[in-house]
Amino acid sequence: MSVVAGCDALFEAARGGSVDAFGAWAERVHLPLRRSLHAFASAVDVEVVVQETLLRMWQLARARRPVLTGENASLRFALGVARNVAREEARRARTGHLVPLEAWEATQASAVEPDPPPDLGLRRAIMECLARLPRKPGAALRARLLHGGEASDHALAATLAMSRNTFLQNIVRARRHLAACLRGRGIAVEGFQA
Amino acid sequence: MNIEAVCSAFRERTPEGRILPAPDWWDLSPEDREVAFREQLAARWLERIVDPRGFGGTVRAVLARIERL
Repeated sequence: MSVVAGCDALFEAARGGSVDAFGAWAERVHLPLRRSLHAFASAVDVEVVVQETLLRMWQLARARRPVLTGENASLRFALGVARNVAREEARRARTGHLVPLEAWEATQASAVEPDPPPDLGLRRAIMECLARLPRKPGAALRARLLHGGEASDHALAATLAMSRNTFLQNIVRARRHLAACLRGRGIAVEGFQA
Repeated sequence: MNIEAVCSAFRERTPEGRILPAPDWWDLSPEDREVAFREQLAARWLERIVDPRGFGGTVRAVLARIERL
């Protein structure tokens, strides 16, 4: 199964009511969606836009309309939804002046591909580097990585008997250690501040 | 610390279900929001690799919301 066919096949399975298939679809399109919102990064919290877009795509899947056709159709449709949500958020926050004019006017997202599943060798290297982190930074980063979508930093910090500020400082330290460890293995990570 | 706080996928919601920006996001300069954008990307990428099901924090947050609806 090709990457593209896999993406649209997962969305079709979500239309049949499978939450697991929707989760797998969302993960495949999530990073391309997020990258497509770069022009809005100064004006809106992109995390909000991505989550709202995925929720609207779930509602679309459940409504079974419209029928999406063509290569990469579900991702292309989601890119349009994301752009509209970003515009709504910028208007609400009154930060539209921070969005480049071409991002307001663009009606068609440029061609993007869904993300392929992660490489197993890369996962092994990352797990080894995570295991080598100092104790407290490692505990803070693991808590955020595994539970950060469902629990606030305040709640996660409390489970580790840390203040929120200490928790955040530990995550910053952990990321630096992790980036250095990965760099030592020839792995560069987009966005990591080492 | 504000940038790191914004990198969490957790977002509060209004009683009507509207997703709210991270409180720390409002305190960031436009330049820091650019940095936060890149670090959010890296955070979601890493979460996806570490998660047993291959889901990052954003997708887990959305699935938790769907399952509550």
